[in-house]
Amino acid sequence: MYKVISTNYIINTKVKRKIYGIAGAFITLAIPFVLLLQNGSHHLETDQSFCPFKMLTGFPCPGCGITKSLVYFYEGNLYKSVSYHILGPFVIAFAVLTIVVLTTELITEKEYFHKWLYNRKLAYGLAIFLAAYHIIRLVYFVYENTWISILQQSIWR
Amino acid sequence: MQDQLGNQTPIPVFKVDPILVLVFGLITCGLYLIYWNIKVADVLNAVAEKEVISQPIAIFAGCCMPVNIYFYYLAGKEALPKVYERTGELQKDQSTLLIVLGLFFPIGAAMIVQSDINKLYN
Repeated sequence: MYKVISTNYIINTKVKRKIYGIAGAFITLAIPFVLLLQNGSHHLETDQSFCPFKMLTGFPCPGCGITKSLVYFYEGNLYKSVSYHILGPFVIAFAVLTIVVLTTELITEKEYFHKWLYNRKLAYGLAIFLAAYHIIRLVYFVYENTWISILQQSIWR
Repeated sequence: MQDQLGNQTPIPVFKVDPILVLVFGLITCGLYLIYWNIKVADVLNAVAEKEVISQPIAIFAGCCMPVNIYFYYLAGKEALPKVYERTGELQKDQSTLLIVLGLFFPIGAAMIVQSDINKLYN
């Protein structure tokens, strides 16, 4: 009996996690779309970032610019999208793939792409790429901005 | 580096002063937090004796806000109670606090998790 309860608990937890995953991916895609609809006067470029790290220090965090990248991707401006964050279009592809795969998994009760999704080498490769990209971006950021303009990008201006 | 706690599963040692998490996080402009997420996921998975937080989630949590919140939800809901079980502390659900902190001040959430993990090595 305990085994049955335990198995049911694991299945329920898995289903719950998949629903959270779909919801998270949907939110990731929906928020930039709402921002796009509100961006009639292109105020997004000069607005204060909501990233806690950016607000605190004025410097970008590794994920800074992804939301704006998604907004400009929706607008059809791929160059601007990539200039805000190189992984922006990748995030859209990943979120769409997540929704499709997890919905299929919920319907068919089978699991797909887990070999790739839980691949440590792939994950570390992504981490190294992200770290290298962030370092290069920071160097450019410091080179292109004065200390005053960096401070102006924080909440301490 | 592995550490054996009693006869339970070996737990990777990752003992860092929570203040240093704050300092390193700020100095490296958030890069340290990606490394921190990976290491903490290793520790929490070892404590829970199952993969609660996968490596891709740990890495994406360092750059994507919804994933970051999911990371702290998993840590607070499924992994930290196992840590408290090992350290003999009062069982509590920290997920709400960690999610709110993860949203507004992720380094603060990281400091709380690190502080709880450090108790494993006392």
